[in-house]
Amino acid sequence: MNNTRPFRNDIMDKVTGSAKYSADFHMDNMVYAKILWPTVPKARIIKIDTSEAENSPGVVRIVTRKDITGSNVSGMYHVQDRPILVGEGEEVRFLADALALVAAKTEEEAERACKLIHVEYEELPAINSVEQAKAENQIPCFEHSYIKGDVEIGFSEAAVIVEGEYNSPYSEHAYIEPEGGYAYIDNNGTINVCYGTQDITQNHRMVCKALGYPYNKVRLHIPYVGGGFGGKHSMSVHVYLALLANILQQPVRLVWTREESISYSCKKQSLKTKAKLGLDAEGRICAFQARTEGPAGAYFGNYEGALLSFLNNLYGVYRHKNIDVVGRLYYTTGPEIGSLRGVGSPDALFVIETLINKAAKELGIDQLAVRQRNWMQTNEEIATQYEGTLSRNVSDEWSISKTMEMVVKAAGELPKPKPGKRIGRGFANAMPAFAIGNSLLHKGSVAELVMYFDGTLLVRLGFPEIGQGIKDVARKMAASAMNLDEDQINVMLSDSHLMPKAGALGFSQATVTAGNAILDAAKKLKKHLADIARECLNSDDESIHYKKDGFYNKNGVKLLEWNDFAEFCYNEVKSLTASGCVVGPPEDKGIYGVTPISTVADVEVDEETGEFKILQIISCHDIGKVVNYQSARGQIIGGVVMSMGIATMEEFVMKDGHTLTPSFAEYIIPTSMDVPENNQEIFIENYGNGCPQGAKGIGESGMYVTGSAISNAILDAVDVSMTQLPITPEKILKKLNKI
Amino acid sequence: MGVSFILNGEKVTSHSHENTTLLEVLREEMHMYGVKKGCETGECGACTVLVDGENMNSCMMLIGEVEGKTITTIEGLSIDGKLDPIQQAFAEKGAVQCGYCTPGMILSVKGLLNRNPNPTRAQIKEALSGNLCRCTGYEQIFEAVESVVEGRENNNNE
Repeated sequence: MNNTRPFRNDIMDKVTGSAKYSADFHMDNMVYAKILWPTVPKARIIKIDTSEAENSPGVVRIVTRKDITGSNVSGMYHVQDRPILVGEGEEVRFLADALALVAAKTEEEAERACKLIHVEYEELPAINSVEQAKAENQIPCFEHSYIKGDVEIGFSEAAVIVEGEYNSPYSEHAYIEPEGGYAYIDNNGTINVCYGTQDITQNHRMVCKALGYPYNKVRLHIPYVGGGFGGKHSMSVHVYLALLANILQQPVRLVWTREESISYSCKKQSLKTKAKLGLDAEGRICAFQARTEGPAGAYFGNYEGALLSFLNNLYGVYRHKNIDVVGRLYYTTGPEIGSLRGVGSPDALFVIETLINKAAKELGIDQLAVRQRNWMQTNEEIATQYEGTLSRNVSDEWSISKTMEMVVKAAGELPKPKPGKRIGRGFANAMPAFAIGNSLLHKGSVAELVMYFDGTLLVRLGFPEIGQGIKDVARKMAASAMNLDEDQINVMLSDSHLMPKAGALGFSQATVTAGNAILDAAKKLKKHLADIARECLNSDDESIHYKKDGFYNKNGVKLLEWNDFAEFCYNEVKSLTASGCVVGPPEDKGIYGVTPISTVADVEVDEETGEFKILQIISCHDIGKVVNYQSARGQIIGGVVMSMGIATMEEFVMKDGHTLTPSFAEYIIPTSMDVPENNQEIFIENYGNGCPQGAKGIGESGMYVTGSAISNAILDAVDVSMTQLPITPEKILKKLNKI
Repeated sequence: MGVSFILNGEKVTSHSHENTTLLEVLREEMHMYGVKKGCETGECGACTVLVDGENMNSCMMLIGEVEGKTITTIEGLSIDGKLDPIQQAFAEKGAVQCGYCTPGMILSVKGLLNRNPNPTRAQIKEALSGNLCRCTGYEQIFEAVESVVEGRENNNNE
């Protein structure tokens, strides 16, 4: 890699405050919009009376269902079933079903007018839990099972069988930038919407279909995005902004408050799992059974993906002969189920990774030994539903034993506990099963390269810069592929009218799919340049190739100066562009870009109070070739802290369809005071097969087994196996039978 | 009339209603969009600015309170195009991901170093506990602050 630049190419904008985010734009004559949300979570709307609100000071326009001429439905991904606005005679199915939009001269005036809209509801019975749904004989809205071998025979061979009832709550993404944006009509008559998202191509389609506007008249463009973690796939402001700008024919801004952001955005799935694991006398897994169920929310969202992602990760990195797993989801009057960094995989791994420790403990086998006996080997066929061997799909070396060896070494001696405290150490490991290439959402992305006549290069990509550093990855990949200096590369991102298609920004895919697309485009561009050079030289020498300052033959003789080439191109009207895309994994339906992970956590527990302190977390990741070390490190240790928060502090709570945790006072995320004393990452750089220059995706890797390792450390310290997330002092005391 | 104060070295006057928050005035009247709005309830720290050298949540102050005071936002931290050592350290240590908390975080560090030029890691952690960051896990932020302190010590020893 041509690592010539000291910083990522987004950093200067961000440390100087010049980076613009969705709410940071101002236009003359701009009005401000607010959304009227329902107060009853499930109801038929009898009447929406806007007459009083219309006369409220500052109000410019109130928009309701009647103003929508398109399908009025949107959806997070491929299924579109969620209304944009719910109108009279229609049904509200959860509290994020918007009823009206108020545009006013100021935000306060819009807010005030919202309160003057009178809505008459016919309250309908809400479904607040899976238990209630089942009691009412609701059939699951989605069900998936995976059966292999015969678990009855497997369990009959077991020397120990352990069971647990696991529970993971809804979690909030808690990006620090709330959803927001602005829209305006340009001189072309095009509706421009500028806002934060993770999925511009899909959002563009969503807006146009829902509102019935032609695709070429709605332009979405994305500024810097203040975090997403999966939460900014969902419908937020863009559809409303396009609608308002078109109706008002003037600039409009719509920004959610924190309370709106937490209350009305999608959530990580909340699932209950009864799981049972059998080990034979040598500690080998002989059977695994699980029954998972959870609320699907009121609309499709990403509930299918959320359940599948959870179930796919229940098996860990282990060899299984007998599996019986069933998952079921039920419609409820609850939050939309989205994707949260790892899409429930950390919760699934929590089940298998803590059960295996519990079983090993009963058998008297060490937690490392039990893993070594069960994890899959390099050339083994993957034990679950994916196809192919690990090495072909991952790296030539499947490095799970190496990642574990590294964390064991780095962990050092376990310190002596302070008086009255107990200390424990827990291990866990994972192989994030990225399905890049075989899922509709992550099949691939397109990159376009434009070479200018001074030899500088523009990279055009659909992905937004959301903090992950894709802008810098793109610069580095392009510089390396074209053998240019990083200074000669400019990267432009995320514009529905100017940039090519991007996949959904998720599954840790941006580096992999954008990188592959850039390398493919670079290959095509170099060929295109050489073809023009041959034309210019009137030569059929196939060895002529591009090299930064001109064109050379196979003997390294420069035949054409860049400037002469550029002059030729200018005069002969040559366009120096190329488009690249690599769809799907290189050879089969398997997984690829997988990052073996091992994590160790040391935890000190106070048996009297249940309070626990996380002393250190060390995690080792085979992330393939590192593109930018600082960025990679930040992704991992940031993911570790986020997952520590989700496993030990965070819980999005609803009661009767209403949010009880709508602010950072109730929904607590880790602060600088909560981080482990030592949060350390270790990288192994095995070339990732099928990945651009061997670099794998890493955005979610830090999340995977932090919670599992913490829980296993608690088991080691005080001999209780935690099953209910988040792990709190109170829950530890309950397990210790002290309260 | 109005409320006059020094904003990033220049005297300005706000004509917003006295009950308007300092955050709203800085963003919507002065167009200092580097001051971020994250929660409006003093919980996230994204809107942190310096008021007479002290880091404060601008969402928790009303414009009426800042008459005659000196306000520094992230836009006013670099002098003559030269980055403040804290900005430089944040860039060098990779203490930035999405960047939304960064302006507030940098100004909280500035406030900390104004009152305690040689903070320990424990003091750094405590001083930044009001600035939420969801991306970085804080580690590279701590390292950036420590590198500012070390850099200054090295300069003093030279």
